[in-house]
Amino acid sequence: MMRRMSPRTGYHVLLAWVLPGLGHLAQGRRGKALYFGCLVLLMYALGILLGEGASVSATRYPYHFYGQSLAGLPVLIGNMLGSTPAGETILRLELGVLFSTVAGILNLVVMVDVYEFARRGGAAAGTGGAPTGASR
Amino acid sequence: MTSLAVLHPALQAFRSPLAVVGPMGLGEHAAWFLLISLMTFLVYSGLREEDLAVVVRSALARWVRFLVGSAVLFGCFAALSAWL
Repeated sequence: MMRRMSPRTGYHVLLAWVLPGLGHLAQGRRGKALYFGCLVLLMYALGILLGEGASVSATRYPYHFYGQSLAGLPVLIGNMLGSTPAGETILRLELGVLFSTVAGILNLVVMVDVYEFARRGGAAAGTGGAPTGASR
Repeated sequence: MTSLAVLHPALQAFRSPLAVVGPMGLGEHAAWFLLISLMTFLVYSGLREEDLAVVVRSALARWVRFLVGSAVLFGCFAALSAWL
């Protein structure tokens, strides 16, 4: 059953962007919130670790940043705090950029899941009880 | 945007523990490939499915199929490069 998008749906999707898993938590889906949040944030953390803090940068990697920025607040903080390679070669920098970009893109999948759950009528129940939507 | 790390020497001095290992070899490339593909399937399989046990099972099944296909492709390219 498809429903019109309510302002609450948009708010939940925005929460899912701000912090991976927060949108699911707002919908009452604690298990999925923890599942998605841990996966996306772990991938992002690996990206930061591999790139030694230099893998998120809107100035050095503008195109990758479009994907990275989908992971929300952690990326914005990473961009502000990120280090700049000072003459040394960071051996796994490209791998770090890849991991953090994929983390952002996967958070888009998480946001779509929040939206689809709301459209199926889950969010309209208030706390988001067990959905009746079919799995594929 | 100025990096705040310039203001914080500890952040600027952060180094990954993997740096001591040296450049990545084929084995490490393969390991990272396995990890990133697994995590991608784990997230993707969670779309539109609420039962986490089903999500993980289907993710693992898809991942294994993906790995088999990747191994076949790798073998083809390895054979091709050896032949050329």
